[in-house]
Amino acid sequence: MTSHLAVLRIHPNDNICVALHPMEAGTEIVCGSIQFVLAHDIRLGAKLALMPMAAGTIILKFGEPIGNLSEDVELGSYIHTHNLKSEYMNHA
Amino acid sequence: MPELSGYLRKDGRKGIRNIVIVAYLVECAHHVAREITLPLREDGVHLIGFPGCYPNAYAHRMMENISTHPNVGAVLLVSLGCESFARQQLADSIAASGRPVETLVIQEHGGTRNTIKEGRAWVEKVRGQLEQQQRVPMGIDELVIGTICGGSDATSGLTANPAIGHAFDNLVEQGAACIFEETGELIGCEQHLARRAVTPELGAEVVASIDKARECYDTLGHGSFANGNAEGELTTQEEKSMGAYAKSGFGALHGLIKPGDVPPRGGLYLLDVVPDGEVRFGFPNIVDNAEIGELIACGCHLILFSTGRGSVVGSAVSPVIKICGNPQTFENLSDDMDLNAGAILTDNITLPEVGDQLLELVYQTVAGAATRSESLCHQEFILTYKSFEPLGPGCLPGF
Repeated sequence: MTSHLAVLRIHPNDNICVALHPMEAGTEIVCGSIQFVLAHDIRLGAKLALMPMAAGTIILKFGEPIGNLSEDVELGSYIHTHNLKSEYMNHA
Repeated sequence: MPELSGYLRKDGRKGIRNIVIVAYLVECAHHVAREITLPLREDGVHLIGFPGCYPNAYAHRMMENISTHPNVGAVLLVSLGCESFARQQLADSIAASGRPVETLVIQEHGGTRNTIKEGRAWVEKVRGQLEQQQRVPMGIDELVIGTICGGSDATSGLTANPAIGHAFDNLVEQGAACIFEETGELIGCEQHLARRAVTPELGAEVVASIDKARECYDTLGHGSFANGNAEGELTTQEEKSMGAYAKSGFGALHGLIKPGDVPPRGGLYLLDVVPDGEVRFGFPNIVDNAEIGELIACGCHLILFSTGRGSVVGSAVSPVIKICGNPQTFENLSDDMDLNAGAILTDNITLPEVGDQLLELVYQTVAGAATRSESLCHQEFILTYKSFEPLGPGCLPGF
């Protein structure tokens, strides 16, 4: 039987998980001891908050900083260009 | 242990292909050169060239290195006649490398129609000679392999790039030289990479090269980040970098080189493709094939190309193996892809298993099996203006 994780927390220090396939709004997500329900449809590779976090929080993926939040987010929030900004460079 | 073989060249290097290249020395000769190759493009006759009329030391070195690349058996140069390219110097270097070379100057050969006719006749003649050449045994420690990612998405760093890293670790262990590149896509990873350098001096050179990339991109107002990356769920440059970095595997870093530098021995090398000095001539790497050409100028026999969004390109001169990180993309573009690393997400297959499949593909490709892009006649080539300073003293420890 093939068993596939819905999401992956790549590194134990990460504060986001990554969707391993596209999923629809309403899907229940379990990531270790953390559970939430998807608010929106998401694409493969989408990043989802594993806890409520305040604006300015540094997001960790692969255990490494990939930018900081420009707004407060809730558990399960979709993290992308609308709320995550590079520490290094800005892109239009 | 796979039994490999290649075509022995005068400088001792061995090629895994034995192609003829037709090289235009200015855009004005491009059409004539292309017409010479078109009927023969499925028969190992590839087109390369430099479009500019103004001379450029980097472009000359690229043309010379690619014309004397081990995969190349013979070279036809096509010149308009009045361009600045130092065609005699290039022809002399190619002749000194033991390869048949001919120069056709369109202005001296009666124009388009006659030059095409003479060019095709010359290429047919040397193809006959190259076909007589036998392959000789070749060790894995004689291989130079490059990697690049193009059309990256969030799967690239989870599947295809770490699979390449696995293959790189294995190949380096067996003595091959493996080259990864694009310092602009290592922004955010510089300290990690510096710690893997075999000397602190090399580590400092690595950090400086990535700082240079950041300054260059800041000046140009655009990094190595495309809209398609964001559509593929990558958000920031540093996130993309973390995924790209995975191509380098886990081993020690043995050197930092620039376009045209051939690794002096086996090991893992970073290729710095961002020009030195004041930012001029535009973007450092306008498109993936510019970097592939630079990897080939460093002697790469073949290129491992990772893609998530789905690039379809190949290259002139060296075969390109395409490793698709995204299972949905693989489904859409399976005819263009050599390996479905996205199966890690959908099937019962592990990352090391996909890495081992990739190694097997490398050995098959060395042996002569055509990659998907080769069989589809993808022979992209692009070369533009750049300028580089010589390597710093810490870049190649031990040399």
